[in-house]
Amino acid sequence: MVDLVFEIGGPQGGGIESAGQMALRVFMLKGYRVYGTREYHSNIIGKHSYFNIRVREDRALAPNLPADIVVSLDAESVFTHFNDVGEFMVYDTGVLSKDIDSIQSMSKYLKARVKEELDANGVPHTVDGVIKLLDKRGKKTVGVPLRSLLKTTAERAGVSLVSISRAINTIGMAVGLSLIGVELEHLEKAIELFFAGKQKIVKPNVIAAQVAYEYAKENFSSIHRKKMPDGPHVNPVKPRLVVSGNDIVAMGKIAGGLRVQTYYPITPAADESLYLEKFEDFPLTPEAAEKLGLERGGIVVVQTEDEISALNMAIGASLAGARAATSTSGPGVSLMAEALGYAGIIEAPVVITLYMRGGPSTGMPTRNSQSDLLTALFQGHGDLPRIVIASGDHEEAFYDAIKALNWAEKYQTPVIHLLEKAIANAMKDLFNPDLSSVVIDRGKIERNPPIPFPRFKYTEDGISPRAFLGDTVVWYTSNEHDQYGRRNEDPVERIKMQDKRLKKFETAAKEIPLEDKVTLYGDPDAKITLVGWGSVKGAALDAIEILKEEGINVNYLHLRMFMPFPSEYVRSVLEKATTVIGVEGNALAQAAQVVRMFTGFEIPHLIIKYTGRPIFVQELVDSVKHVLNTGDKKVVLSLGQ
Amino acid sequence: MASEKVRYMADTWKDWCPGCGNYGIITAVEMALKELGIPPHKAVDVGGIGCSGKLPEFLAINGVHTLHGRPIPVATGIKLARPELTVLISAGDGDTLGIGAAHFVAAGRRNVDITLLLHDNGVYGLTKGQASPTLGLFIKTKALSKPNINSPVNPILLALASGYTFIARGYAYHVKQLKEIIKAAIQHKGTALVDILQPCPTYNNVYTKEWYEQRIYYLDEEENWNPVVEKPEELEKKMEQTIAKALEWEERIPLGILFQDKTKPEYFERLKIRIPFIEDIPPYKQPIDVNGKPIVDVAQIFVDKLVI
Amino acid sequence: MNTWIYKRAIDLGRDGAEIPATRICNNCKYWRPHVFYEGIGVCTHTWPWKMTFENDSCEHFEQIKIDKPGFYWCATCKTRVTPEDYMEHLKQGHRLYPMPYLEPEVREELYSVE
Repeated sequence: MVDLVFEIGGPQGGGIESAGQMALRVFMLKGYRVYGTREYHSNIIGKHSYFNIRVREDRALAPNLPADIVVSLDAESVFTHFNDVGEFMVYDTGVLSKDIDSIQSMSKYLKARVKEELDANGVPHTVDGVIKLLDKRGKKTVGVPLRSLLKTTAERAGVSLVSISRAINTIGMAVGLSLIGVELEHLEKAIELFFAGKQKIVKPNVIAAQVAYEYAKENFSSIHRKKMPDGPHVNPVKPRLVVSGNDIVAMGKIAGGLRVQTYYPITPAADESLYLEKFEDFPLTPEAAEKLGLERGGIVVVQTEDEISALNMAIGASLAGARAATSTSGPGVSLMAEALGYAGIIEAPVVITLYMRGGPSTGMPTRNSQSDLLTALFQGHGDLPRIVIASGDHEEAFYDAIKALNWAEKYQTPVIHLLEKAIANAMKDLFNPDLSSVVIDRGKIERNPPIPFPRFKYTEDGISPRAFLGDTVVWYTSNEHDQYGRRNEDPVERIKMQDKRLKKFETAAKEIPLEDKVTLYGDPDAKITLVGWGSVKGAALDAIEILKEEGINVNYLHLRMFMPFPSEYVRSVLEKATTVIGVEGNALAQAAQVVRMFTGFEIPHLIIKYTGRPIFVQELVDSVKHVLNTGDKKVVLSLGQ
Repeated sequence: MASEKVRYMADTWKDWCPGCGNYGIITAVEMALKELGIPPHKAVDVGGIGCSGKLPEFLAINGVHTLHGRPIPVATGIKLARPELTVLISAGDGDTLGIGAAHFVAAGRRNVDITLLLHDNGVYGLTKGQASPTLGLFIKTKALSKPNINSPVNPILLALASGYTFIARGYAYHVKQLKEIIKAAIQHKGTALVDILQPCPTYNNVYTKEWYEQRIYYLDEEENWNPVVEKPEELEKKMEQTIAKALEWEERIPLGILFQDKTKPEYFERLKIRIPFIEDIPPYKQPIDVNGKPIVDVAQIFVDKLVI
Repeated sequence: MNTWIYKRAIDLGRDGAEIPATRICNNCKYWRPHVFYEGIGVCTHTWPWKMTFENDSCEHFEQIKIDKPGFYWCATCKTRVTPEDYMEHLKQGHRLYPMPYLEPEVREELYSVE
């Protein structure tokens, strides 16, 4: 079975993004599932960035190392990724003499570690030294004269090369693809797809690919892999898309009927709003257009002055009857704390899409973390329940984005949809999402409301019918209030009103099906259980498969809804296992604390990662085995640059 | 839906201090809405925190009482979703020029068609009379143990700098004149500021009724006063005269319309460049499902992500 | 002062290219080195600008002169140097240019980062 990792690195802005995008498309055209993880610094231009692309037949949901092939477009990539190499290292012969100390953009701490390793192996601190070390380790090192291939490309293209970065990257990537036996035609098609409409760029890139393939054929035929077999999806019946987590949430929101999105620019959330903005005026399906007599839909996307305004504005839009959401990350959601409570007390339906990144404070803006779970659950003052759902992959994110909009309106509450950088920025192939099972449920809406309107009427399920501003006279206040929304501090009414608000969440807990809250993957009778959430899912699913092949039967309990929390089910699964290991991407083991709070079960072993990098499959496998062998209570993961 | 006798004032007991300027303001609001014939369910008053923020509670139109400083974003959201509504904001100088100053500025940049009634009394009444952003430097009210050491912000100048297209000033106890100003503000298409000078008899013993009434005068009583920008080339001159008027304070305080720019497009005019039908079919009016099913197809919209 | 230029020209023997003395792009005032990738740059002599290699040469060659204090691009350090410290870079043999070449479409390759 094909399970391949293709890694390409270079300077931020130096064509790594388009190289990765093209490579993803190549493997999709080849019939595979793909998962592309991007890593980059909080820097616009010039620091190191890379793309780790996982290629599999059935499921690609997590990055892995070692990489079958590492393509290094510059010297820094060689120094940064030589330990990632599984089989091939493609490098530029033009930088062989480059000394690690001459690379200004590289972190001094990484430099020191690399130099120590090179010293220990008796090789110089140059690219040449690293290549010698890799040769010693039996890796296939593939030197490519990038500049002369670029020259050939320029001559053959007969035009001035408009984009140097985008020809160099194509050459490097193409040599890499050729080495692992991918046909040139797929790359040519991928170039056309990715640069659709930009003929000026397509042509030189296709030529660059051809030049690279010719060069690889002439020079590396002895180490070349044989032709890569076609994957199972080489002729897919349904349209396939390649999307980031940000993209797919935007798509989910459009499918889910979002009509007002507010945001203040922040990483890693902003791309979602930018993408919504791009498609703010969108076509309806022909069937819907006919039924509604309306061809198009439109989303008002507002870039606000700050996140405080973003959430308050979304709340305002929701009171007037539009599905409204905002999108942010840790620092932004901190500013939203007060408005979250406001939405809670006035029972305003609003969705906050929260993309976690390394914190606290500005922390590591471009790096992954799962450290805002406690924030999502407990931010805001007062007795303030909310719905908190965490997506584990792109597909979950799509449907969760729709469900979040439904839950917000149905239970008239803020919903926090948790995602993380590892998903937001990872590119994933998807079949066109199936909407046949998707329901748009706006909850209790009074279309012919009396004047004035008892907006907060006591009901059995705690949910009062809603009327929109403008359909009648409705009163809202951030103060405690009576059934008409008028300020009221009567102690007897206070109990009733507070209980009504809490009751909604009992109703939600009952009505929301278990499969939306938690999933147990693998053998339900396995004695070893991993507990995780969010992006841990991808690595965990692979890990339990690999461990099974090694004779270790492990299942994975994937937590999705943290409020209302499926306490009984989680407790029953955990109590059945003899060994429970929590896996998560934060230092406090926040989900483990939440599990204990809601179930009383203390997870005895923890595998955690807070380097800001995603959990790689193999390090999870190794660490699970380590826990099983040693009984260690805590393992801290650190793989990846 | 309309009842026989349209009521704008709620039955709620108004709990403002005796002599509070808010009694005048709320009456002017009521009269303005009534005279403009805006039915209560098509009007919204969005309040901040403080004495001003209680207006929505005492009116019988839609009322949205919000957080301290945040009525502008909430009101903007309401208007963006449902532009047919008349959206008023009742907020204090602390709300708009202190904790919510970023929103005050941003509102001018957007020029959404909302009317901001700025209750300008120089103090934080509900927390025992601390100095607010419009209290003059070194003024010591009875409520302050020591003189104020912060300079005041000039709401007229800040609004002008921020791009407000309607800037006026009224006086809380001149209900009829205030009503006319509020009517003009509502009728203006764009963000309108009415800076309402309002004595706080409980905490501000400096800016009193007597103090104001010795100084205030109406601009429309002056010969040749014309604050309206009809053509872009008039802008600079009109801004200059507004600045000059905005700087008057110690001796004389001008009331009335200080500035009105009819040349700048309102926010929906701007949005229409991006979504042509958005004013006719605004967010609240757009269907999002047919019998509970979505009305879009992902692969039909996001064609840039297709790999086929 | 410009000995670094000659020295660099000698160092350019990579990829087996011939070195035509010092009248090469690397030493030419019309040349802008690529901001990231070494040995590649853009000739700004005639529009549209053309990609060339540091050891290319042509009849429009004019010697680059780094003799006045200014904000130069140090291709060795990949950063801007100030009028105060440009001389220090020159002394250390660094390559200075008035500007690097940054592709106009570079934003298409960039991320949201803060």
